[in-house]
Amino acid sequence: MRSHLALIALALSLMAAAPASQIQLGATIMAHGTASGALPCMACHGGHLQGNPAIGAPRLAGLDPAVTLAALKAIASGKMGKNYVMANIARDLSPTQRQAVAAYLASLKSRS
Amino acid sequence: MINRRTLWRGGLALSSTALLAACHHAWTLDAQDVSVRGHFPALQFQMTDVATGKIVTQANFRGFVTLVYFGYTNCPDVCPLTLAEMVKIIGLLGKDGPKLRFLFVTVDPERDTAPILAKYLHLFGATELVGLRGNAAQLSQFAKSLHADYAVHPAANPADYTVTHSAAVYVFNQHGKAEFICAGLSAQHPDIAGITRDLRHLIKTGAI
Repeated sequence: MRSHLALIALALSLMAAAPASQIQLGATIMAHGTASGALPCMACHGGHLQGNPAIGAPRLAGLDPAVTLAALKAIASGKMGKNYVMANIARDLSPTQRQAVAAYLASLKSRS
Repeated sequence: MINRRTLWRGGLALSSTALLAACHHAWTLDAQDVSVRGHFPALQFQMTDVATGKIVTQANFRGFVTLVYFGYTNCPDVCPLTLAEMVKIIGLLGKDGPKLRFLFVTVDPERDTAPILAKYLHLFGATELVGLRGNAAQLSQFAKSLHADYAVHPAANPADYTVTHSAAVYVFNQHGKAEFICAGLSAQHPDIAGITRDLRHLIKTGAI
C-alpha cells in the first residue's frame, strides 16, 4: 500500500513538471529564436528575461504557463500588444514551441 | 536559295549570342537592392570591435564582402528584424557565408556598452556579425561618409528615450568599394532569395 502511494505521488510529480527536453527547447528559443524566423526573445526582453522598459518589453521570467500561452494567443490574433515584430513572432511559434517557451519561463520561477 | 536561308539563320543566331553575352556582364540587382557604385566613397572608419576590445579600421575587413548597418540594441523592431534576416541570408549563402562580414555600428554608444552589444549580437548566433562602437567623432564621421542619419534623444524615463536611424544596409566589395544598398531587409516582405543572390554574386565575382 505504501509503495503504491509512493508510486502515485511520483507519477503526479512527473505529470506536473515539464519534461527537461521541453524546457531545453524553450531555453534555445529564448536565446536563439527559431529556424522559421522567430527572433531570440532575449534580444528585446533581456538576457535574464527581466524585461526592458526602454522598449516596452515586459518581464517574462517566472510567468505562469497559462499566462504565457494566453498572451501568445492574444498577441498572435492581434488582440494584445502593438509591436508588429512581437505579433509576427507569436504567429510563427508552433503549439509545441509555445508550450516549450511557457515551460521554460515557468521553470525560472522555481529557481529564483 | 537554301544557302542564303542558312546564312540568315546563322546571322540571327550570332546576333542573339552577342546579346546574351552583353547581358551576362551586366548583373541585374534585385528590386530591393540599389546600386551606389561611384556615388559613395570607399569604406573608411576607425572604431572598437566590441568582441575583442581592439581598434579596427576598413583594413581589417579587406577580402570580405562587408555590410554596414547603423542601429542600437534597444531598438524594438527594425534592428532585430534586420539582424534575423541577415542571419538567414548568411545561412543560405552556405560556404560563401564566412566570406562576408556584417558590421553593426551602434548609434547609441551611451547605452550600448561593448559587453551589452557583444552579448546582443551573440544571441543571433552568426560569427559573421561584428559589433562596432566608437566615440561621437568616430561615429559621426563614419555615418556622414555614408549619408546615414541618426539622432539620440536621451531621457530619464526609458520609455521616452528615443533613437532614430537610417535602416539601410550598405554593401562593400572585398576592396572596400561601395557596391549597393539593401533597402528591403526590414521591409514587410524582404526578398531574402534575391538579396542572397546579389551577395553571392558579389562574393564570387568581386563586383556587381
